[in-house]
Amino acid sequence: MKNRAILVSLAIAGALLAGAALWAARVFPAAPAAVLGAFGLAGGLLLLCALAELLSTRDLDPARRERDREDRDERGTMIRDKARARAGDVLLWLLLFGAGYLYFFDVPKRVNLTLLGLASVKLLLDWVFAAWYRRKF
Amino acid sequence: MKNRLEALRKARGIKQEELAEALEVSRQTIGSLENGRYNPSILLAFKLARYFGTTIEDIFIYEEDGI
Repeated sequence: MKNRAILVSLAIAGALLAGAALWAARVFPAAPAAVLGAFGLAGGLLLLCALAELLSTRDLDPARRERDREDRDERGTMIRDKARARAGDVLLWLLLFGAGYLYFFDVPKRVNLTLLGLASVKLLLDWVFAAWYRRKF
Repeated sequence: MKNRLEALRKARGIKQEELAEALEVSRQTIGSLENGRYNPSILLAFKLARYFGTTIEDIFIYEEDGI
């Protein structure tokens, strides 16, 4: 379900941001072009995405609506969460296995350390999110 | 979890698509519920019971292991 008010607000905000960036580029020619360009790009993207969502005919297509519902209902959400968790575990084991496997080959130590570092970050994030959800629920 | 969902639905002449639309879930979810592959949340269980005008215990059969 779309919230049209929010989408219209986002489209207006995007247009204003892009317009402000263009105006600033003309009025302040000495201003950093990269910064103004970033704001202009962000505003333009925001406007385009909001318009695309507003004009989308997704809700009119029954097959599309059914697919969206299948993805977003409680069973679809559970499936997605389980798949993501399992993929994370597989990636973790691949990182650890990769670090161990490459240890016996002539690769720079920083490669092993990078793989181990990524595995450690993953484990740390697991612990942090688990602690957060334990407090939340 | 075993349930009488399919029997209840067919007794009322309702299609899976219609039930799914009424409960705002997908047809696949209704199918998975009926064949016991998926257990609903408490919220969905209440919605089902209310839809059929019955209780959760009348729809879902709770069997403890070994009994």
